[in-house]
Amino acid sequence: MQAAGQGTGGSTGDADGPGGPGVPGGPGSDAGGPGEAGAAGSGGPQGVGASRASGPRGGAPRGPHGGAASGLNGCCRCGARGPESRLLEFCLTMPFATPMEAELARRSLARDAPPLPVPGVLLKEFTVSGNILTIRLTAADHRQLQLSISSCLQQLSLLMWIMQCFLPVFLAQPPSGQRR
Amino acid sequence: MARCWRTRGGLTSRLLAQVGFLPGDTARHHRAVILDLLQEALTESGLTSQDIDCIAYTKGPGMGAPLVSVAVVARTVAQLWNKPLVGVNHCIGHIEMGRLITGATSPTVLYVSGGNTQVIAYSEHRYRIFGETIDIAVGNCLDRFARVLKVSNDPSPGYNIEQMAKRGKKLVELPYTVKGMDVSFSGILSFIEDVAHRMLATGECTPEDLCFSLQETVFAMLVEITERAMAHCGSQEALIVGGVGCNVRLQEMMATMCQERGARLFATDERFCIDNGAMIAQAGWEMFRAGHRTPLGDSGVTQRYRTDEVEVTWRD
Repeated sequence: MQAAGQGTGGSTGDADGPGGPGVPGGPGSDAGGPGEAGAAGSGGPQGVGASRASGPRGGAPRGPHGGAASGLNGCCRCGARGPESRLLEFCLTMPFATPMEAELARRSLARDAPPLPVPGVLLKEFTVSGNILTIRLTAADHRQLQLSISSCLQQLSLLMWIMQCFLPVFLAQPPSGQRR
Repeated sequence: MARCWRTRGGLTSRLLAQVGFLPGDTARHHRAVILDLLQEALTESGLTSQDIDCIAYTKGPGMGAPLVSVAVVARTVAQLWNKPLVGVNHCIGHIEMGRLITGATSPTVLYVSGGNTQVIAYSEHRYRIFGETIDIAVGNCLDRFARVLKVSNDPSPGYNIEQMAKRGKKLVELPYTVKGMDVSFSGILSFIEDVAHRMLATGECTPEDLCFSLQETVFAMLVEITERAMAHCGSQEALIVGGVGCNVRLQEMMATMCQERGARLFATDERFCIDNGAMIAQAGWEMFRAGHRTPLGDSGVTQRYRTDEVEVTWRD
């Protein structure tokens, strides 16, 4: 994952931009569909895909201002909106084996109370599309964003560990109507 | 499940030796041990996930990072096991565990720990806060004074202060700050931090004398506000909970006050005084039986969660 410095002029872009690795069949995309990482479905932990770590391959996506994009599924974008407000963004997409697991992950991660008032803006967005969980963190301060990224990744790691421990048991259980 | 616990390599001493418990370090510890602990608890109890009725977790108050770490586990497990969630107030966890262990029916509660200092009594489906610290908790005061004296953190600074205090012979006059039903400890801490080095250097007193004096002063303040609450409520029971509640001197002083009033004092030992998961389970159990459920949408944690915010529907 790549973090944009403040001097990049807002050009790291979104990995899902045109022609980027996030587009099925697009240049540089991994086989198997959008957002799939190299480890997903290929011997990695059941039901859990890893965020992509590979860089763009050919046809690198362009950022909103035409500059080069990071092309990574975990990416940090710097969008300049004016001299006084400069928002930094980090975006991570995580594929899961099923939409149910992605939604479970979203519900587990997205529920904490807003942080205590701090200077600047910190937004956390968790969305699911199919089997893809997208996490978007936006902050006005780089340090705030760094802390938020660290915290988010730690929680995501913990979540994946839990799912590795208990998901096989969960999947082996009979449907809910037949439980005790 | 109460018997399962985890520390890692003297984590407690190492953390306190620096600047007290740091949220990031504490959260890291919780993340590292929680799943092993969960599986061990299931194994030791001989239960499976299907035997579990609900998932109780600490909703607050407390440090944000550790709260979030555990909440993520609770939410995930609740979804995987298809069990209801119950978010528990940490302070109420102490109270309900204290009531369970001691058998106290409707006590005036003195809740004293490193993070909280409150006098609480039950009234009309709420645990009402009759008095509290207006700045730092009494345990925080003791721990920070331990750092001034460079007292060892093993096993805990409060315990070592207590042992040193037993050897104290001279009472040093310290600021006594009770404001109505509330107490203040930051001033006494500032004062003793200022005078400690001078008095020790001149031989005016010993570190043991200072520990003794600090305990006598802050505990007397706590006894006063507890007694005032008991008088207001007409209560014949007092219950001490929280980590500082392990302090034998505090228990003695409270016992003397209760005896003079014809009341009974209840206290638990260190297994249940200090923060523990079983107290959350106990309070969660009471809440679950009373019909409390925490929807996933409301399952966020909060660092500031007042004791009296919870509607206590499991009591008359």
